[in-house]
Amino acid sequence: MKSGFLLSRREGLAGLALSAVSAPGFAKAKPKIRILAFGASNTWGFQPVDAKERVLRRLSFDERWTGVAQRSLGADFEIVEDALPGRTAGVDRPTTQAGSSLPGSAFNGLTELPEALARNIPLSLVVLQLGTNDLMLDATLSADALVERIAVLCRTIARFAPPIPLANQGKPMRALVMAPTGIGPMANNSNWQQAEATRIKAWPELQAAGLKEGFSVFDGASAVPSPGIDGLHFGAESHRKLGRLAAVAIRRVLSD
Amino acid sequence: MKRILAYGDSNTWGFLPIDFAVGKLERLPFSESWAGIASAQLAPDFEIVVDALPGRTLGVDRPDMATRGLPSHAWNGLAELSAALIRNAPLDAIILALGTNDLLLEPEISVEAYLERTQALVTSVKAFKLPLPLIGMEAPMRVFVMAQHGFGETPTNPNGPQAEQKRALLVGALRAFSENHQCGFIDAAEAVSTLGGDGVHLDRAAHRRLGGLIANTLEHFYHAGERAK
Repeated sequence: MKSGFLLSRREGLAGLALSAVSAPGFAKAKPKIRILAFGASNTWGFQPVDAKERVLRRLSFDERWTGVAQRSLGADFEIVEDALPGRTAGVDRPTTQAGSSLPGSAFNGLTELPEALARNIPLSLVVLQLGTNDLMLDATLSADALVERIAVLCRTIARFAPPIPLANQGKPMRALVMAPTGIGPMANNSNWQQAEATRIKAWPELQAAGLKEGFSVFDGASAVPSPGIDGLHFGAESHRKLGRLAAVAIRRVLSD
Repeated sequence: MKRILAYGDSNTWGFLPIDFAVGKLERLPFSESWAGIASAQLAPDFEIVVDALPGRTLGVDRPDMATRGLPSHAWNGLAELSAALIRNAPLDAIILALGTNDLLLEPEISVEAYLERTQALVTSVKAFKLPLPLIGMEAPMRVFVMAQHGFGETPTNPNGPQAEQKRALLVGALRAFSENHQCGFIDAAEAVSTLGGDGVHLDRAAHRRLGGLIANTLEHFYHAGERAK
């Protein structure tokens, strides 16, 4: 027997129409414009690991680009996060990865996206910060293939039908892609130069795909030209710059 | 500040009772949900964060949700737990606010089987480890087990009355389980003994009462721990 949701999608859509008609009825606090940041370690706030110290550090929300963007956007907006270090734009990770308690599919951004949307709706916009791990896992990945993975995520967002037809999720969600940020020299990974070359090649293709398919893009690397000391992970100063850039991009998309 | 994860289903998500006359579904903002209310009451010493999915179970897949666009394991609270902990780390504790869907799906579930599902979650939390230690997170996490609130009339679900009987039967068993496993215990029915609306989902007043109960329980638990040191 069903539990949890008791309406069929059809009934829920009827409800949507009704609520749209009676829209002035929001007497309570004005609902915030919700934005989901769906990303990898640089949304999680992962800090480079010191080889001697061997501990993990996570920046707090206030220090992460998401928190910086939240402050810049103000109280009418609410940025929520769904981030997992190691997450890809659309491929499982090898299951043999040392120390991971998750199956390889749990890192696949495409597999995980619908659940993340279901957990976080209602949403007006989803900001994607993915793609770097795809390049690090497979340095031979083409720019075309990388852009296609990101485009598939954007299509998934545009077409997402909530498992729970929700009154305040009337409009389809929009997608804003943070182009994969720079990849710098790495001591233990000789693939970084090839990955960085593909990343640079992918940027104009990503812009073109966005125009064609109707998603927005912004260039994270323009705010953070040189990634952290491990070649991947941004420190607090980079997060500040990225957060301010993201806020500008979010405002632009939502005012369109 | 101690971060506590509210790991739950629709009632942690803020799913308001369905008004069958209107057919409109609404989500409460965090600030009006039990987690937000408890978090505000406990600030600044604690912060409660939410990881919730309407329909989530303690530990079974939901093939009945096949048409909902998510894989059936996405609703399985045990299968999804580790990813939720990584997303939300660092954490000091977790509140397991699950069980309602297990009871509605399978009201004939035995007390033993329900406790086994709870036990599997607790074991998984206690065994959870990141690849390297995370600053601000001490393992193992504390666990709070929440016995579920009382069901009301469930007009569209014939399992409601049997689920309610089973829920009432489980309270004592979950309390004893929590003591035996060094878990905190919350009986949500102390705040929400029965429900109006659709009989399953907490309304604003129920969220406020539950949020208050949880804030008091957390305070008491942590203070008792301090005294014991």
